[in-house]
This record gives sequence, structure tokens and C-alpha cells, in this order.
Amino acid sequence: MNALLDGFGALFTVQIALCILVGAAIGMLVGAFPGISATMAVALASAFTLTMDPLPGLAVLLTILVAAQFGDRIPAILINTPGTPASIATTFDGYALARQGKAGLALTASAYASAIGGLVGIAVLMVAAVPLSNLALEFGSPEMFALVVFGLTMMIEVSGGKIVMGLIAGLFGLALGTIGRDPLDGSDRFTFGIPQLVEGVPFIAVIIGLFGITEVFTQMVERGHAQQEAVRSFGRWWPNKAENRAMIKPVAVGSAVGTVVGILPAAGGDIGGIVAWDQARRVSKEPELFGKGSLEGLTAADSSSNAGVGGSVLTTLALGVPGDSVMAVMLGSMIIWGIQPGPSLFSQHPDLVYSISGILLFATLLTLGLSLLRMRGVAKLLELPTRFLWVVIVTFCIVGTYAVNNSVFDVGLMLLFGVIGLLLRRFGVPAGPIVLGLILGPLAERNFRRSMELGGLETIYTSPIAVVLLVAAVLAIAVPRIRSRMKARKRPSPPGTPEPRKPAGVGS
Amino acid sequence: MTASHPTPEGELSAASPWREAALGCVFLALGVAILVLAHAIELPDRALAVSPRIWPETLGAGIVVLSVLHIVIAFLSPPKRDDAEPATRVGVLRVAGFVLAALAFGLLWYYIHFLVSGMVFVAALTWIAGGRGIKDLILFPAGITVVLYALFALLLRVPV
Repeated sequence: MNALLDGFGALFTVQIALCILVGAAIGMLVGAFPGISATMAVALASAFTLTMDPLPGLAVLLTILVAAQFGDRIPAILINTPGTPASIATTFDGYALARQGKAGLALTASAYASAIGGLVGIAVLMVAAVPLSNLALEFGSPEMFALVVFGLTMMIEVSGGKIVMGLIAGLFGLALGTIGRDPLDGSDRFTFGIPQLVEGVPFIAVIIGLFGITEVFTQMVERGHAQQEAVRSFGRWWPNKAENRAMIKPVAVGSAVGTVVGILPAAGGDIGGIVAWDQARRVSKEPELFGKGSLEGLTAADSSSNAGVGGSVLTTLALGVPGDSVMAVMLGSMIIWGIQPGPSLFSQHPDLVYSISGILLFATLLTLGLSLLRMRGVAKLLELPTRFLWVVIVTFCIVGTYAVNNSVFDVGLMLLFGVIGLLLRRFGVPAGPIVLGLILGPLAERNFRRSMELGGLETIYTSPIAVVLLVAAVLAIAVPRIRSRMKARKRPSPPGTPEPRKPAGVGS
Repeated sequence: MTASHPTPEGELSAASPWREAALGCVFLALGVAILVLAHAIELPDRALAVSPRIWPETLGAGIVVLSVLHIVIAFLSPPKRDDAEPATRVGVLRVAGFVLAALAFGLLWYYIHFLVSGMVFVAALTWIAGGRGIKDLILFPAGITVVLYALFALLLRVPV
């Protein structure tokens, strides 16, 4: 109880309140601008927040993440363009509702569903984090290695159906993670005499390059296709009693699905939203409306992607494994601040965990209020000319990346990975596994080699936790494929039913 | 990032197997390079349970095997192309322009104060992106540069 009081008590300062307010404003804008993903915004903001204390810094980053997942619904509903990948499933029904003259209703229902989903995820984080952390304390090198292997299996899930190419990309990311000092003897590897590489590849630069710069470059290269016009008629804004009742079940389904998906390493709100939309359709009394303007479909997807935030934060804090690509960036910031997420965090800094839960709670409530108040105003910002948007993103990426280490080398690396990311995307190679490999690679190698030094492979296969995790890793790969094949044999999809498209990146 | 529901399976245009094979060859070369580099890692004097080369060698070998598999699959099973928009010539030139402008800015930044070099850089980017006129090429770059300078140099004390 003391940790809970200490954790929440630490938030009642003017500085934290300002940080949450600034984060909410930035996050809403970021979410509302198609092309700026939450991952990129958090990565960019991390360049600023590294100079702050950990708690205010986390307040900015976490609030951006939460607020972006409110703001991104606006373009998804109004112009059929997800503000971030987390709102891909929002477009399935949101845009259809807007075209029926129910844009206001869709925006309000979406905001409420997002808030409820977010609160469920935070509640799970607060309740389940301690038991999960007690389990995590049993983790030594063999268990950590098995856990990282489990996390790496998500490379397949974020490969957008291109399993072989996704695995190659993941191995490329793991190989990037070998650059720098050897984890055991400290000798330099693959640095080619470049001093900036001795500490490893600067992953903030790589992430900003692969997500932010690549997104801008892709939009530039593909510019010319017809843009859909924004919806101007909003209709009524508040749902009636019958609509409120109808939304209870899909929001419950979405919140549950989103939390579980969020806990899985590297599965983000985009995947959660798509899975929840599909599950809500299965249990709905009106499945035929899904994809044609169903409030149930809209609220299931939006509650799920926000519930995933609590789940992914839980995984990141308790296990030190990023719950999704945004958390991968957040993990990097925490490490730089000297906070080592993982088994020991809950015993050494339990108050910090509750502070983080509190930040998420306040951010969700504040952003809900802003969403209901400022929907119309934010929607106007969508009219900003694209040329200005591109320039702002690129300029902030460059200066922000420079600010991390005051290094022009990092800026060059970011641009290089922006171009590499563009080429990869043009060739259909998913970038998500690269980031996953880069983040988890050093952890995997260090724990694998330590396990070998401790007693060889025996230390891994005699550890019950490691064995359970490795079996879970195999099941995580095999079960979805077996189930989908069985379903495909039993029941072909009805014609005209929109099938969700998986994003090319890591759920960012 | 305009959301589009995927076209039915039959409407997807087939990508060239040679294009996919070329991509596989690039990764194959990358895998071989990693293997060669890993083999060059010096072994420590003291005895270790596993060689420090084992991890990068495993990764290199994995990339080689998967790349060969990708090349084989490209010819055995006709690849499907993603529903990406076709690239435009103007777009490619703009990307090249942005990269060149950023490199030039990196050099200029060493010699000229950020407030000047930054404004020139933002103006150049805006021009490349299609901006014209006083508002686009003077007012907007000036505003962005001042915001960046205030945020990074004054507030965060980043040495720009």
C-alpha cells in the first residue's frame, strides 16, 4: 500500500501535471496527423526527455502514447486514413459511419471506448504486475534467454504474412545488435574503427529512420494517388441509450482481447484492434453490419488498441521485453535513465510501477476530456498542406536524433536507415522484425552465452520456466497456423466481408 | 497510409520472381558477409564454453539458408505483390533532394550558426517538397527554425 501511495503521491507536482498536459497535446496532434506514428513520436520525444528526470520524462512519453491512440481515430473516421497503425481497424466501421452522416457519433463512441479499454488495461497492469514480477524474479540467464526467444517468435506475427522475409529481416536486426562490444569479453566487433559504433548501433536513430523518415519518404515516392475527401457533416454527437447498451459487449470483448494481445511481446494495438474487431463480429447479433458502419465493430477495435497499452507496459516493466514497438523505444529511454525494466524493478522500485500506472490513468482521463472537447478543432488541422508536414517531420527527426548524443553520425545513420526502410518497404520487406531483433539481440546473445558458460545447454532444458517458455514459443508459432488452416477448411469467408490488412511494420 | 481493404486474391498483380530472387541475392550476400566478418573475430586466450563467433556465425548462416529458401520459393511459387502505390519520378527526386539537402546541412551546420543554416535547410526542404512564395520559403522556415532553436538550444541546452 505504501508503494501505491508513494507512487501516486510522486505525481502530484506541477511539473508532472505540465508534462502530462504537454504530452496529451503532442499526442493528440501526432495521432491526428497521418504519417506520424506513436512510435516515431515517442522516439523523437525521447530525444527531448532524456535530459529530464525519469518520472517527468516518462510522463511525457507515456501520455504521448496514450493521447496518440485517441487522436489517431479522427483521420481514421473522417478520411479513412489511420492516424497511426493502431487505428487501422477503426477505419473498417468508422469511415462507413461517417459517410452515413454519423461522424460525430462515431468520434464520441470511439473516445469512450478508447478510454474504457485504456482503463481496463491500466487496472490489469496494477493488479497483475506484482505477481508477474514475483515470477520474473525466478529468471536467470537460461530463463531470460528462453523469454527472449519467445519474444523473437513475434517476428513472425509482425511479418505481415511474409514469414521467410520477416525472419531474414529479424536475423538482420539481430546481426545489427552484434555490432559493438562483445557482451562477455568486451572486445570490439564489427565496428570498422568507427568509435560511435563501439557502444552498439544507436537504436533511436535506427528506429526514427525506419519508421519516421521511411514514412515521409514513402509518402513522397507514392504521392499522386487520389486522396479521399474529409467528411464535413458530423450529425449528432452523443449515443442514445440503445446504442450505449449495444456497445457494452464489444467494449468488453475489445478490452479483454487488447489486454492479452498487449501483454504478448511485440504485438501492438494495431494487431489487438484487428483481432478484437474479428472476435466482436463472432459474438455479435448483427455480424452482417461489421465493415458497413457498425458501432460495435468500431468500439471493439478502439477499446482493444487502448487496452493494449496497459498490457504492453506490464510486459515491458515486468519482463524487460518490449510489449510493442513503442515500448521498445520506451525501454531504450528507461535504460538510458538507469532504470532496468525486468525482474528486479518491482522489488527495487515498486513505487515507480504505480507512478507509471498513475500517469497512464491521468493521461487517459485527460485525453478523454480533450477528445470530447476538441474533436472539431483537431479535425481542422488535417487540412495542413502535406509539404509542410513532411518538412516538419524530417527537420524534427534530424535535430531530435542529433540531440540524443549530440552526434552528426547518428543523423547520418538515421537518414541511411530511412532510405533502407524505403527500399525495404518497396520490396515488401517488413521493418518491424529488424527493430525487434536489434532491441532483443544483445539480450539474447548475452543470456545464451552466459547460460553456456554456466553449464551448457543443460541449464536451459533443465529449467522448468525456460522449458515452458520455449514450448510457448513453439506453440505461438504453430497454433495460429494450425487453427487458421482448420478454419479455412471448415468455413470459407462470406463474400464481401472485409478482411483486415496487417500492417507492414511492428504495430507502430 | 490510406486504409484500403485488400483486393480479392485474384486481383493481386504477380511480382516478378526475378525481382524477389534479386532481393534474396542481396540478403544472401549480406549473410555471407556476416559469416566472413564473424570468422575474423579474434578468439580470446582463455578457454570459453562457446566461441564468441558462435552467435554472429549462427545469424549469418541463418540469413544464408533463408535467403536461398526465399530464392527457391520465388521461382516455385509465384510471388504476390503488395498493394503499394507505384513510385513516381517526382517522388524519387524529392527523396533524393531531401537526402542531399540533409547532407549539405550537416556540412553547413559546422560553419554557420544554426539559426541561419537551419532556416536555409528548412527553406530548401520546403522548396523540394513543392513550396513556393514568401510564406512557404521565408515565413515557414523562419518559424520552424526559431521553434527548433528555442526548444533544443534554449530549453534543452543541446549544443546546436
